[in-house]
Amino acid sequence: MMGKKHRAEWYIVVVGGVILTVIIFMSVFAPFLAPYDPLASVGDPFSPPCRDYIMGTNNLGFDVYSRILHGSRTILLISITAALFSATVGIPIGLMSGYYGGKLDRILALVMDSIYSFPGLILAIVMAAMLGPGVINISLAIAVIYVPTYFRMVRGQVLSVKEELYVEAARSIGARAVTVMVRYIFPNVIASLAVVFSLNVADAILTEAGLSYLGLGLPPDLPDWGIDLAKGKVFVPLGTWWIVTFPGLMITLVALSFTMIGEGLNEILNPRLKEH
Amino acid sequence: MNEQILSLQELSIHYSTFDGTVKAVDRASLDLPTGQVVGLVGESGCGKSTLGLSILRLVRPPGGIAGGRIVFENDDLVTKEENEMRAIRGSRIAMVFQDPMTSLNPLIRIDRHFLETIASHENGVSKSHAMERIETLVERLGISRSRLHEYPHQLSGGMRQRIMIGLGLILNPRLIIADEPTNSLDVIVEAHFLDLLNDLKEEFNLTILLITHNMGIVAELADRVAVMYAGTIVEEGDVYDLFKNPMHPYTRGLLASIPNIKIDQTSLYIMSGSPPNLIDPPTGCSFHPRCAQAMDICRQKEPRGITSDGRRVECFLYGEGTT
Amino acid sequence: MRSLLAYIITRLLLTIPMILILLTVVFLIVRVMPGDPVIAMLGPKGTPEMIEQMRHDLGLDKPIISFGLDNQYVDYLSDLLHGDLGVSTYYKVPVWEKIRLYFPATLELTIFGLMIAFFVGIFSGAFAAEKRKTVADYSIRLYGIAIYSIPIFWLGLMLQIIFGVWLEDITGGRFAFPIAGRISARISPEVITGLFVLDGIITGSWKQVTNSLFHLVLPAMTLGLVLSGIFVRLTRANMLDVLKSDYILSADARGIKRRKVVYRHALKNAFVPVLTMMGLQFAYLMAGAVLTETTFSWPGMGSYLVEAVHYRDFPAIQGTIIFIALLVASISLVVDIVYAFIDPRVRY
Repeated sequence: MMGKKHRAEWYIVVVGGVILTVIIFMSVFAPFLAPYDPLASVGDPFSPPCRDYIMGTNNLGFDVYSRILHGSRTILLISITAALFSATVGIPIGLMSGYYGGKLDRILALVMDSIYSFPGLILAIVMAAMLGPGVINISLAIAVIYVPTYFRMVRGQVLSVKEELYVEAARSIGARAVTVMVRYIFPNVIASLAVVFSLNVADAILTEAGLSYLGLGLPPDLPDWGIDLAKGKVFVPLGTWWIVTFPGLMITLVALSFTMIGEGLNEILNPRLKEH
Repeated sequence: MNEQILSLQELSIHYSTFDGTVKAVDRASLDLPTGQVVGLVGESGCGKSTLGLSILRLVRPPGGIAGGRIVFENDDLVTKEENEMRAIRGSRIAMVFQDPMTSLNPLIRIDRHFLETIASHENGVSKSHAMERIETLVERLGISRSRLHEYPHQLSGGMRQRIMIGLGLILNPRLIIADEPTNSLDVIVEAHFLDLLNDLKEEFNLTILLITHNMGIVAELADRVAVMYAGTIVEEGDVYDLFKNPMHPYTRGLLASIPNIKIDQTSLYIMSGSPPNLIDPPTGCSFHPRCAQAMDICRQKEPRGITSDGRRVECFLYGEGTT
Repeated sequence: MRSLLAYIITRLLLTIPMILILLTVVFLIVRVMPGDPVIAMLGPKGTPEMIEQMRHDLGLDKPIISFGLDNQYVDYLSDLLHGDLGVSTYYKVPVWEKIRLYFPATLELTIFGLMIAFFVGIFSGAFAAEKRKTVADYSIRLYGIAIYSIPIFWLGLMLQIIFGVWLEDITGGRFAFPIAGRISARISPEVITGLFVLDGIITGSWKQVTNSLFHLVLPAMTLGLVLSGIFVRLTRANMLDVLKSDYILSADARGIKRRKVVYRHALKNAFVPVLTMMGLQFAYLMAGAVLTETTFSWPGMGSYLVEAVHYRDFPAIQGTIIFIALLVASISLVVDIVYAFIDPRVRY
């Protein structure tokens, strides 16, 4: 039975990967691909999609397409940074807490569970409000929400692996705690980490979009899809659908691509019992 | 009155799996004479349950009928549409399954099980009318009518199995297929159950296909026996004759494996070998790898259509066959 | 029953520290984060004296934490125990008053949203399970994964465009679903519980009932559809298991119509876990409500929170968060207890 590729799952990962690659390409080469300056009024406001402005212009005459291209940088930057922050903080704490155990571990676990059970977006809103605008600030605000996710996952793995014989064996020959953690326990965690990270970024993307939609966290001159939606929302009754349709569609696509990669990887690495 | 109520002709049922096609039933032929009990015996995995399910066309993908006919009262069930089959299920042919605990919906009361069955086949029956019929039947089966308002888990195993029969009989079918009906019952309950089945057979004028691996209940209840091996019927005949004088080597082995209280045995007889792989069965006769009397022809041709002394026995020891 | 009681007590005891932790976290975020709330509140017009005065009024000149009892943390906790959530600096009324005013709107929205999520979820999940491995099945599964990736506020905007604006154009201006508010301005609703539909039923005001239902359609669909994804997947998985069971085969063998077998027998057995999942989704529901309310100008707690943030009304922000935390914790507690009630195995 080895070598049987779960075809459907690989499709999902590949499709997700392709979409993501396109978007990354978009963000890297945005300055070259964008026909106009995303921060300047370049045409009549409220122009519907046409040859000059393939996605139309918004209420201030900005080219929607250029803003889409540049906006991809913002959202990718912030969500990936936030996810990396969370992982960098959550994983070591989870490792150590699970390994050393004891009272501190139980308190930490309780704290993390409490934060985990609270609606993330709302926590982020409050943090963003207190921290004020700024790319670093918003990344931090989002990062805090996901620290418990990594903590719980890593700690869970540590707890289940800790009692295994080979860890006992390593300790009995005097391996230092750090060594044990890094060389024996951590490798078990890596596979799940890829899955969690993908899904984390997907969630962070939606949170970032939500925060900027609510007007929080970003300086006003940064092109961002969430901000475009916020600004464009008022004009919906005018029938200028292109102002809000494209940015939202892009948010969906990016989030979807990470979700597909994450879910697909999950099916491949932890296959459920075969369906009949 | 038809001589045979049901006739399976060269029926084949194949399952398509990742590893290949499993020939669960391979050109099996069997006639069920009206009003008799026919026992279908064989080891686990020989295909007898699948055969039973296929009569009601309940074999679901990845399995399907790959050939043959199922002739019921002059109608070929293989060619019927799904909605025609649905009308037959439960009302003209009924099936009783082996584990009554899992065969009854734990969230639905017993009376609803019955009412629903009736409502699915008869229009415009009033609830009180239906309940009358149900209560009469249930009491005939030895269960007090007050139990009808209960849930399956509140009844004992023996009662549940009798409810299962009741569900099979409520619409007066002509044919009942009983798949390992006493598997989940202890011997005392089983004995009562077999008596009950016997009585019901006479009363309701039933034909019963009794699918089991338990030779004991076959001996008690059946008029005829069909032995199944690797998806096909290898021997078939009158129950007394077959038990007294088994002809096919497999049947002999099967009967010899039953511990006999009258004989002084120090060890149990076990047939050598194991059942064949149904994806890649042996060539020729599927029993030949385990048969002490295998001949060259057994490896080359499949024995079909051989009869001897009024007994159908698919073995080249008794004739040449028609393959 | 004794074990159920033991479980309830254990669970309660666990909830208290969790609530305390959440309250502390909120405290820390609001007090300790960089940025001076008083300066932010007073703006550039604040003179140093005003700032000092406000600091004192708000108790912000005390140490945040100390060994004694005279510090901000203790003040904070004791206020809470007295049910005092502070006074909104923007509106100058107790925060609790505002919450009481806005909460029913959120409640009504989330109830309808959940109902939509539930029904869409379980029926599509059951349908997908029955039509396993067909195009319909794969589409529904894709929906289950994808719907969660759609930003809820974008879905709201798209629904507004399609069913609010375009629908109006197509029907020549005669019909469209409302895209803002809970009820038309020309109707002043009778308010008893704050749930307009319920109040309309109680007071017999048909107009109120229909009008508020119309206003609920788009926002509840937005919230409901995004949440339905997980119910779809859960129901489908459960249904696949249930459809394999013996009693389903038995029902088929009795000639019961397939549709009845699937949607009555099978679904009945499959949907209970979905109910408990609904309780667990409450946190997402709150987050979703915030975004939905801002999109549809729905005067609920979500809108209030966002408003408070924009006005830098820190007591309001703090108060609302605390309320939400308590709400989430209680719902989670209730769900766990109900689940233990239904499934005795959980108690051990």
